[in-house]
Amino acid sequence: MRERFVTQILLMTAGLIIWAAHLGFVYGLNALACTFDFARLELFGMALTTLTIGVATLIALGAELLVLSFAVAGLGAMGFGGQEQYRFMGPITATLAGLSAVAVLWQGLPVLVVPVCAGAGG
Amino acid sequence: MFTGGALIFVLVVALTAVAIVVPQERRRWLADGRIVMAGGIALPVLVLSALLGYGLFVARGQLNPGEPALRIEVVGEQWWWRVRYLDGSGGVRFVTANEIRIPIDQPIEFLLTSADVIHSFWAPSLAGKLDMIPGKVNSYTFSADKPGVYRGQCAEYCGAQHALMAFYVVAMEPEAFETWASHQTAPSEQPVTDELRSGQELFIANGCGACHTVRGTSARGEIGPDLTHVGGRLSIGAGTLPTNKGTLAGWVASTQHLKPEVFMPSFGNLEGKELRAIAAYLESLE
Amino acid sequence: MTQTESRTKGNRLEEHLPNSTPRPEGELKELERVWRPPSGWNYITVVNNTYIGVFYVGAAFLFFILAGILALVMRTQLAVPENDLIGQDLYNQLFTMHGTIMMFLFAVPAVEAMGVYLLPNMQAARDLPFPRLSAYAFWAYFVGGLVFFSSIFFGLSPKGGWFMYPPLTSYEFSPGINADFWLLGIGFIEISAIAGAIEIIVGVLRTRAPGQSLDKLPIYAWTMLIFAGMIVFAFPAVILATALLELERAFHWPFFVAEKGGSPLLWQHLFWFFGHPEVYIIFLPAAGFVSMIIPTVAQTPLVAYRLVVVALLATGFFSFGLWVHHMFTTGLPQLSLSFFSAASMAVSIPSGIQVFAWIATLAAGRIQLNTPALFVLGFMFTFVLGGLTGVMVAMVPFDWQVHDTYFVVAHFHYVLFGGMVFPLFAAFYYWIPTASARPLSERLGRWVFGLIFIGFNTAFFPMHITGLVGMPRRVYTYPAELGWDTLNMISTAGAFMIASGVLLFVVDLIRNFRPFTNKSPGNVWNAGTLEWLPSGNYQTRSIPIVTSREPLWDQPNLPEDVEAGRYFLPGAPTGGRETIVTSPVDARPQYVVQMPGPSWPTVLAAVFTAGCFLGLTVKLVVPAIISGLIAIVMVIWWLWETDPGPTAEEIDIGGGIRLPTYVTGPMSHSWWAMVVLILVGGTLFTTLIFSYFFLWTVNPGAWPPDGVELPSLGWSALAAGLYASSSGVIWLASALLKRRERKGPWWGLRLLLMAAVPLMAGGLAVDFNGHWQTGLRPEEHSYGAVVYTVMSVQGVYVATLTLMAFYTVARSLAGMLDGVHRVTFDNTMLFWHYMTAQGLVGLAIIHFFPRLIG
Repeated sequence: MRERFVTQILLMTAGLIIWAAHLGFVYGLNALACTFDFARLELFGMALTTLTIGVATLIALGAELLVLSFAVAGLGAMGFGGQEQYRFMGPITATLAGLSAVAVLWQGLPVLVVPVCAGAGG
Repeated sequence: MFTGGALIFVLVVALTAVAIVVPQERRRWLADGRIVMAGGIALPVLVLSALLGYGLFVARGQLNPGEPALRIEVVGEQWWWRVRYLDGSGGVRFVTANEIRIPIDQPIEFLLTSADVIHSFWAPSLAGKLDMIPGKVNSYTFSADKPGVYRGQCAEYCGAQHALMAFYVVAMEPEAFETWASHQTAPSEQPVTDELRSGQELFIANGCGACHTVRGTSARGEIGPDLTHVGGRLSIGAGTLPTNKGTLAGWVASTQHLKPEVFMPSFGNLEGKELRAIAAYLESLE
Repeated sequence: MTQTESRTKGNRLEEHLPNSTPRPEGELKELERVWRPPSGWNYITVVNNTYIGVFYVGAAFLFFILAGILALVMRTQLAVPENDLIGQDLYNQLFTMHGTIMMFLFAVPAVEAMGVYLLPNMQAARDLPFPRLSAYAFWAYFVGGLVFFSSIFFGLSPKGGWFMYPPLTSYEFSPGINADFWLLGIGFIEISAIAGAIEIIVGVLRTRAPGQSLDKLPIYAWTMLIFAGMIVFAFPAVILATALLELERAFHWPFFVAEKGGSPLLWQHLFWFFGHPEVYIIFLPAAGFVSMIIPTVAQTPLVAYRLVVVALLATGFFSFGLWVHHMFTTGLPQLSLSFFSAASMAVSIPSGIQVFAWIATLAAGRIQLNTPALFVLGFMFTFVLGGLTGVMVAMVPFDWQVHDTYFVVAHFHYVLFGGMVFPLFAAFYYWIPTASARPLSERLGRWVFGLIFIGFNTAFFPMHITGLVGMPRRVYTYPAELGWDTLNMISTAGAFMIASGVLLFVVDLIRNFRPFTNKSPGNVWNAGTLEWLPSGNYQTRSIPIVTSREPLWDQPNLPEDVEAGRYFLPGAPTGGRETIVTSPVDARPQYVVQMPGPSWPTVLAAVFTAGCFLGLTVKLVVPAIISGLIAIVMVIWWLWETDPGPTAEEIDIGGGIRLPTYVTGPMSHSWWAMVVLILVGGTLFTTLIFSYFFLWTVNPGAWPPDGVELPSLGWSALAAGLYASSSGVIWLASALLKRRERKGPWWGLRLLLMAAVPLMAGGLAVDFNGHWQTGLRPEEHSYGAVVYTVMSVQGVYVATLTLMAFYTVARSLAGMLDGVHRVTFDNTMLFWHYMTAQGLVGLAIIHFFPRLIG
């Protein structure tokens, strides 16, 4: 029952960390695409940026679900350093991953509706 | 949106009331972790998903208002608006200030920037606001569907006189607009009476031309608003006062009292008669 | 060894109390002596959290009243249209000061101060782990805040709005020193917030009652932990922003000047990356108050504790994903806005979870409608309304309409006043019995609540409408014909009603608040958590083992046993101040930390820090530098006493458990504090690197700008080599020190440290020289400005590191550092390796990135 505080905290907030990485990536990519004008590049008839953001969203969602199932299945008990801590942290991990999945989805969906660089800024 | 918001608010207040006043055995269902799941997670996820989707479609709708019929460049300056009407090739057709006339039912593109600090262009009844940022040109397109006068004002705090940095958008029938625009393109009215002539002379002699342009005269300053057709505008001082001889005279004599810290000095040195002449001249510049 | 021992015994001890009674005579006397605050003039050197906490809360409340008075003046001006009571200049200063003081000198310090006061009590620790740091943070903030406030009397207050957008606030459009005063005021809160965050993180994680594992932690401690974590990641952005603005104002380094490759939007990104989390930094502790008060007034444990923890963690993260929603009208691409719109929606879910958890708890129990309960209900009403309008402004098209209008003014007052001030008043009424000989008056309390609640809604509800009909914020006057006058008059009346409620509260305080008497009315609300244990200056007589979230409800006889000294550490075995340090997850006792007591250098360091900042603001450079140097000397003096060096080996804390009094390495609380400090430094550096890349996107295709050469790679390789070798030397020193164990002070260590300093400084000098030789200057273009800033930040850190090296050598010379007692060396070492890493990353980005894209 050794304490691995840093690992435990990182595991517990894994869902949120994935969410943050996704937001950072899609925002950064979109900003660069519009600044350097590679937003027009296309692949299979779709804007490359749109496609990349879509793929990033799917990967992030996959990762969220992985964390979720990991926590729900109790496989994480080891990672949480023991049953007692798992009983507390496992459900938190799972719920946070679930919430983050919703947030990632909300971040990713607009790409289907809104063109990459259009906007008030022109 | 407001109705939805009100409903949620009523729901929360009602549940709180239930939690407090309903007898304990009849509120046990509420004292449950599952209620927290349902009310705190499921409900917001559903409502917000719907709202987000709706918002996206509204926003996308606003993105494609069509090819603009007219392009107007507006530059925010401390504390007034420089307005340039552009022609088809992007050149300047004419310059005016603090008042924007547009033809109705046609998409108008506004190109917004700033000459000094950040301002924000906002005519509430016509469209949302958009910031004017130094070194950046923001643009958006909207149209007015009814003729009328719409008040607008600066919506980003921009210093001492942010409060008195307003403008008017005047939406007109397209023919009336064309008449107005071609009149604006023309140089200023020449003075026809002695008083107006002396007003013009005083205007030049007092150095007003260092900052203001009156096309057709030697006044070619570009620091302040273009006054070529100032008499035809609804307001002076960027929406501070209505335009008439009295307010014009008051403005020239005590600018710093009416709009403190503005860059134009008060011309307290002028005598009453001189002031009246200048005011009459400015009023005549329709 | 000790850990396993304490665990096995800990399990058994839950059934058998560790200590026998009666306790030896004189034990309590000794405990009282050790923790007694100094008397006479020395009183102001007190460091006990129960004193500093109360001073701190009091100061924050004073600023609340002062900023409130400014608001009343503004409301009077706006009561009627075209009012000429005050002019634009004063008005613009008033709203800037009102916002700045409320956010920076009231809200953040107030919640932090409550943490300083409450956390040790709730966790049955004798004090926070760094008592002098709290005292320093308080005095710097108090002195600095008062000076900042008094600028309003001289017409020198800032007038750029509380978020101070450049270019309006830069040298060209704000040439006076008003804007510098803003930077001064913010400087203090930056210091005290970071100091408080370190204190609170280490305090919550390491000084808990044995057995108070993470799943038994009071929700309030959770909120403060996340609060402090958010400060660590949010405040560096504003520290950097203020530093950049001051560099631009003082030396014309053009970060925000468009003509010179800068961008006004850089400020907005940095400011709001701090500014939005800031709102939740304020709100989370307040939600923590509510989560503590509701179970007590309903007399039942919080429903869905785990989900509330989920909500807090989610808020902590999501709130960093919505800074751009303050920039919806700046013309960013629609898609970018959508990402942040989504995050703005996501952040409202955790608030929903908490609201429903509170409702469920109320339903589970039976509410007593006392004053804290009333304020909590008032909070829920107000906050839910504010939250809903918050969701509305998160919608991009709606925001385009109401942004910067009175609708937004109404929204954020509902969220901030509703979300923070109501809970704070609830907290005052609720917790004052732990601090005062008498509780506050319930009868007056109801009036206070009524006046503030009705006044608040009268003042701010109409502002939603005022905003929707088009009134922008921050206007000192408005024309009569627009029909805004009635609404404004109602708002003004409401504002004065709030003021009368606050005044009545002050009357209540004067009549009933009697702090520092060591007398208490006891557990008046029958609460379940440890702060309601009988206490004195030493907090609790003995430190209990905790087996429940509400130990006072679930562990029978707990107060009596604690008071009788039947639990851990009933006396002061080392003869000084001490508390038990526990493991971060399960709260197993690990060692006993000896803590410093009252100290003049701490107070003087704070005063001279304030003097230094003030001197710089009013351009008295020489006094400022002298003052700064004195402050540094005082800090060193104060620190000298905090690492006790070799003393008693192990002590008995009761129940046969013997704990060391000194540990080093990752178990030490000091190591943890250094790691948190490095996180702050690392975040600051990361935001600076973000600024570098952001400025690159402002100047696409011209990075570096035409005519600027990069230094040859030889220079950067040499600099990198010097950094790395300095770290190598430190590594060697550490390894050798370990081998020597207890052989006492050692000249080799001193020599190695003194060798590492020039290597580190040399690396920086070589890098600087390389850029200087190419003719690059910071004033000409944002590229040069940001490159020199990267080196300047490195320079400031290297200077700090040099001081630390000399300090470590001095400790060694004084015979207080050997292979075992090496905490000072360890801290220097950690920071050293971090500095090397930062230096290398900086070199890599500045030298390789432009070559990569060029």
